[in-house]
Amino acid sequence: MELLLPRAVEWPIDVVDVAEADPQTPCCAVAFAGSTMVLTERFVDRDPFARLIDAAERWLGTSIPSVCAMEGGGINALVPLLCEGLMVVDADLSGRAVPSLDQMSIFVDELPGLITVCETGGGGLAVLETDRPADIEALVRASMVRSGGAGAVLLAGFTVGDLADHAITGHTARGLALGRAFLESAEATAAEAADAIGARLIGIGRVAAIDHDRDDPHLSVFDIRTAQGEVLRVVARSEFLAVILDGAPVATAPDAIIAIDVLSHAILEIADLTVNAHVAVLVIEAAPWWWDRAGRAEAVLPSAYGLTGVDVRA
Amino acid sequence: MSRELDCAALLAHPANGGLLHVAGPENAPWAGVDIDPDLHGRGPAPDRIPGDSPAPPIAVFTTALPDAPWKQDALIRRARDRGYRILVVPGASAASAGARELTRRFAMTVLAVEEPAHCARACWQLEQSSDALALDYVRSVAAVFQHEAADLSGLFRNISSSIGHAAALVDRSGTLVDTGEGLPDGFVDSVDFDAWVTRVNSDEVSAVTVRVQTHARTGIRLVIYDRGLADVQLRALETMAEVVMPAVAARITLDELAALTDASASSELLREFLELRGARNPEVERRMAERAWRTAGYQLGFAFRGIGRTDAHSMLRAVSQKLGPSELDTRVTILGRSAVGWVVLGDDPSAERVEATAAGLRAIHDELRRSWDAAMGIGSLQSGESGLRTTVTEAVDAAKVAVNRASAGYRVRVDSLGLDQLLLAWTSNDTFLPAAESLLSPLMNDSQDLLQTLTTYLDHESVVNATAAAMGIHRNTVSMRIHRVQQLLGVDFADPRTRMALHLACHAVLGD
Repeated sequence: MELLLPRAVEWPIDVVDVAEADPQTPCCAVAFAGSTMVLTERFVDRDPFARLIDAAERWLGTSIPSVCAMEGGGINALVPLLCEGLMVVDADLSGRAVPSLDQMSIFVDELPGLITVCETGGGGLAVLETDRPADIEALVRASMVRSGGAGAVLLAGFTVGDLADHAITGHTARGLALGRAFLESAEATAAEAADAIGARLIGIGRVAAIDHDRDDPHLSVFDIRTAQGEVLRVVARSEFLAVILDGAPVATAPDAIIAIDVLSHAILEIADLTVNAHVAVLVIEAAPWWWDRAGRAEAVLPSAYGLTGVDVRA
Repeated sequence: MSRELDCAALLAHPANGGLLHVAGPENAPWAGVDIDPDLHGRGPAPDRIPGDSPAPPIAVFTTALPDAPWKQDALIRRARDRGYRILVVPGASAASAGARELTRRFAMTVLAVEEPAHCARACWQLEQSSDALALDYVRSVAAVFQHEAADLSGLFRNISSSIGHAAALVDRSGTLVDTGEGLPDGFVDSVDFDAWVTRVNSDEVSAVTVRVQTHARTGIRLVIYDRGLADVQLRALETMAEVVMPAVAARITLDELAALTDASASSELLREFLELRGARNPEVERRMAERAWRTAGYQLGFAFRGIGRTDAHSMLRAVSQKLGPSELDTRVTILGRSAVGWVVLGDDPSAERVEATAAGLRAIHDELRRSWDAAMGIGSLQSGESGLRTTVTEAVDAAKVAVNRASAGYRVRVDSLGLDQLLLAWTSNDTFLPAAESLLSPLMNDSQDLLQTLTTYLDHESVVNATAAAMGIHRNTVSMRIHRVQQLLGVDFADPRTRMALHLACHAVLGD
């Protein structure tokens, strides 16, 4: 994305606040799904979502002049900026990164009339319309496999006005503010950096061990010993899902759990957490949207991933 | 020192359901047991105010420890929050490193168990029903007598394995039999040997001891010991020890009888061998071969003799016990009032090895003297059948002489100088004169001036002037001749034994 964006689009790019746009404006949400590793090895089209938008417009019988993000975290936060000619709306469907399409806010709130368009490989596209979000997840995953491991996905059938109630707004502005504050605290301590970005510092320590679940090979548990002797565990799948301190859960998804290197402040992905790594574990609170209505958070709590006993409710 | 119930007592219980310590202190106290307690209640458990209550109950779980590390942590934390300090959990040996660290951090103790129900029963026994505990011990040890033990050590091993604790036999000199890791130093000193039943508590072990009543031996006690035993367990073990003691006594009596019989037979055999004086007797040779009494190669004889009235069989037992653990290859039996034997040294032992052997025998004598008034004699290095007779006979005679040698530590060794040998030969007159002549041969010049001067010098208590006057010669001549005698014989006139031996030899040679 860092290589693609400077060349692919005309800068500067206006990102419009949801409240400033006509609520009747049809909108779509775009993202790349599948393996992020495959994405780093593939050349991306200049306008990777053009065919998907065309297909969605044909299916819905209306043009779609605006676009938003599916994920406010991860590389997909910047993907809407690739859609030249569309109004970019500052909203996303999760407020963080989530692994499954059925965790998108518009599916969680069961908006009617939604469609999903995805690549199927060899230039093909699939258009899906169903009331069962789990089917969307399964069918899109199968299409990603056919598409070589990763591909473009689009959700449509909603308006900008729908985003005001059924999405997380302002992720772009928030992301810019976080990023600037984080860069400015490069010389500060990890605790000061956490404070600068409004994050809660859970603990600082070294990774003592990495355990893998016997039954779920994708589940990792990082055993970190803090300087105070606390037993700090971080549970992860494809993302960090829970933090347990001395046996008590202190933070879980949908909060954003972040591990940074204590000295360099480098943001560490799961694969970067090795034994003896000296890390600080931070938590940024999830968008209030997930807690504003009963039933929403259940889609993204650790129990939704099969992890019992660690859910922390706001 | 009384011992409250703690984890150590539960771990020491022989039927605790296969408990294993996983993490945390082993001496954590407890009172009561809760099975599968509800850990999801809010706030501290009822009736358990921190700092104001007795020791908390043990939490025994019947479901296995969760696999997920964070769930292990959660279990420990919730148990802590509910006031528990000791957790007994199936599969806890698989606890993650973080869970063990959390246990230690919370000052809790986690034990792994195979049979939670048995563990709960053990807790109940320890806390509520010491009679049931004693009954269990007695029932366990009763099964021992269905199986015949080969010897006393075998009986003790059977007892120990049936009750799950170590068993030992001690007397005032130390440990005689032990199935455990060893009683701590000084244990015997802390035992009241006059009491019927006693307890001994130390930092290392707790023990009960019972006096063993047998006519075969006196002053011995049966000891049952282990680490971490609480008072209730010690009480139960006292009962068990009193029940099993007669069986131990009977075994000791039988073993003593067998040992006496064997000692009589071997003593008789040695006597017959010594009396052969070189004659062949196939029957004696056969019986010696049966006992592995080899005559080929080199041997060093030894004898231990009691000072004062001493039972020879008791001496033989004590000597055998000391020789057993040593590295010396020995044979030992009774001859007269002494425990007599020899060290087998094989073919052509080096001087260093011979001296090391003598040092080993001296060390055994020193150990023996801690509880016995015993003298020791060591014979000279000899080889072959006749050599065996010689060295054994020398040792026996040396031991007799040693009885009166307090200044020498009640120890006499027949050495190469031959002085002791000379004195020993005094007991056998037909060998004394040749030995004396051999000793004094360097002085036998034509005039025998040196021999005469030496004799007169010793007659006059080593006074030069008196010697000169008696012989009618100048005092300088006496001094010169005595100095010459010292050079020729290589003796030390300052040693009273040397002077006595020379004195006897001089008169024997001169025939007066």
